[in-house]
Amino acid sequence: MRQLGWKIDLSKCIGCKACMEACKFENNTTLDLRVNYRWVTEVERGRFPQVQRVFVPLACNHCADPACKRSCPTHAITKRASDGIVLIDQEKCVGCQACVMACPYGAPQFNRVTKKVEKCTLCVHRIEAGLGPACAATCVGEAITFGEDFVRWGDPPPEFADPRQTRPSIQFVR
Amino acid sequence: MSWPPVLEGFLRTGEGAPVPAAPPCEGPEDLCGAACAAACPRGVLHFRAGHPEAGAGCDGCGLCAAACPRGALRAPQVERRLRPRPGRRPADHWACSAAAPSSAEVVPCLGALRPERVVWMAHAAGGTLHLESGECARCPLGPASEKARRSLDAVGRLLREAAGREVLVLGPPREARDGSEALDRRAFFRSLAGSDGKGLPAEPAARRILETALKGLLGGRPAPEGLLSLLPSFYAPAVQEDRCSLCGSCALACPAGALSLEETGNGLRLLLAPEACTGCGACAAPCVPGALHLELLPRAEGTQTLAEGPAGLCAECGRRTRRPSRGPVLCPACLHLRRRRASSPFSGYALRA
Repeated sequence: MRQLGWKIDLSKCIGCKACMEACKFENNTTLDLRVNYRWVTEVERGRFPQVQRVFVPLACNHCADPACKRSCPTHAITKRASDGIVLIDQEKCVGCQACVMACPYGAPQFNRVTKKVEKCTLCVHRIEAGLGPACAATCVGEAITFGEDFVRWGDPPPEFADPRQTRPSIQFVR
Repeated sequence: MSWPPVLEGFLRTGEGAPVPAAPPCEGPEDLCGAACAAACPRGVLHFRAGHPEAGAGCDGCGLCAAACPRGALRAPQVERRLRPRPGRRPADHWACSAAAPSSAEVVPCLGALRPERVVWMAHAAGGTLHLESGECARCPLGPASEKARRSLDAVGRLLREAAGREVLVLGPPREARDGSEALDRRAFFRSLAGSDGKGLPAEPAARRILETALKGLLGGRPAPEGLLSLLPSFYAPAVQEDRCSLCGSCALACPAGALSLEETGNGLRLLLAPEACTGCGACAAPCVPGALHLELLPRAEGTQTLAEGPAGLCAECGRRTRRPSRGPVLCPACLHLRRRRASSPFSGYALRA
């Protein structure tokens, strides 16, 4: 099956959060700042004087075996056969947040206005128009790229949840 | 042998195994003479410690449940198909899984429809019920399906006799119907009481209700009140009140509209309308705190209160949820996320203040 996924170059991310901004702008997500389809986490490592700060841009990983899809009681979450994008049907979602608890990456976001759960769609509307996701297009350091040529899972940071659980479609490069 | 796609679905889910219902099974020494085990087309239903138990290979056809004269077995897979759906009138066209694909609703085997169920379905469908079956002789369920079909034919004749017109329209093949001998009503009831019967209720009161329903079909009268209660009892949701967060996800997920969340003075109340509940279990899946589970409950009338308590808005996501006696108001999902974020920096993101 064709599977689109992320390729994240951690050495190139400068933590500018332009991807978050572009995502919010593109998907017109609610003004509630707790709802982010993409977010950038900062991790500090080591002890003085050998310290390191790493920025990790994360979003829904459109897993090969999505835990959210398994948990959804109304079968609102589907995985497209054509490109492996995991989508939430807003008509079917009842907002029970079972997926919020099931996802090891915290990708599903509860929208307190619509009382439903939404998440990254990998900019499915842009992909269908022949473009890439907004975050990848806007990334100044070209740390976020997307496509089919990613290799699971590369070299994930140690804090990243065990990828064998849900087989996320993401590759980390350091 | 290739399985019809629908039946394959049943096999895959493995959820079709019969489960005990409210009137307890009296064991194989009962008058029924282990009718359920005899009806099982796969021969995988056996009595273990006095109770019928389906082994591996059960495809959830529901023939055993239809054969039990006490209504002590339920076929969850069949009942799931039969449950009413919100906003849709009850289907009047049903087909078995071996029938040619059509717009009809599909059950694994039409023989799994008990007579009282057929009468109720005919009422719900507004007088005429179309049942379409495939060729029983070629059915993967084997000769049992043919026997079930003959019994369904008998129900059809009974309905025609009572209503004076064709109420039950059975689809192809017609050869099997022509081959079976005619039955009058008395002989039909006698055959139902016998060991190879389809198990009409034994109590005279229940039979009276069924007869009233049959006569009602003639005059277009609504189904008598007790008809629904004749159907085998269902598993119904039971709530562990101290764990319930009163979020109402169960009510949103309920396809039958049996659960509802009602506002009281300063809180919320979770209500169950037992007559609408089909025991499908859709409510249990979204229950994040795990407070709701299905229990075999005696069929009751009237609305029941499952949980009740003071309510507030979750400090994180704004959902209505139970207000704890002290501490912040947090819904179960946000409480879970808050705990996880504390241990794992990658689980979601919160902007720094």
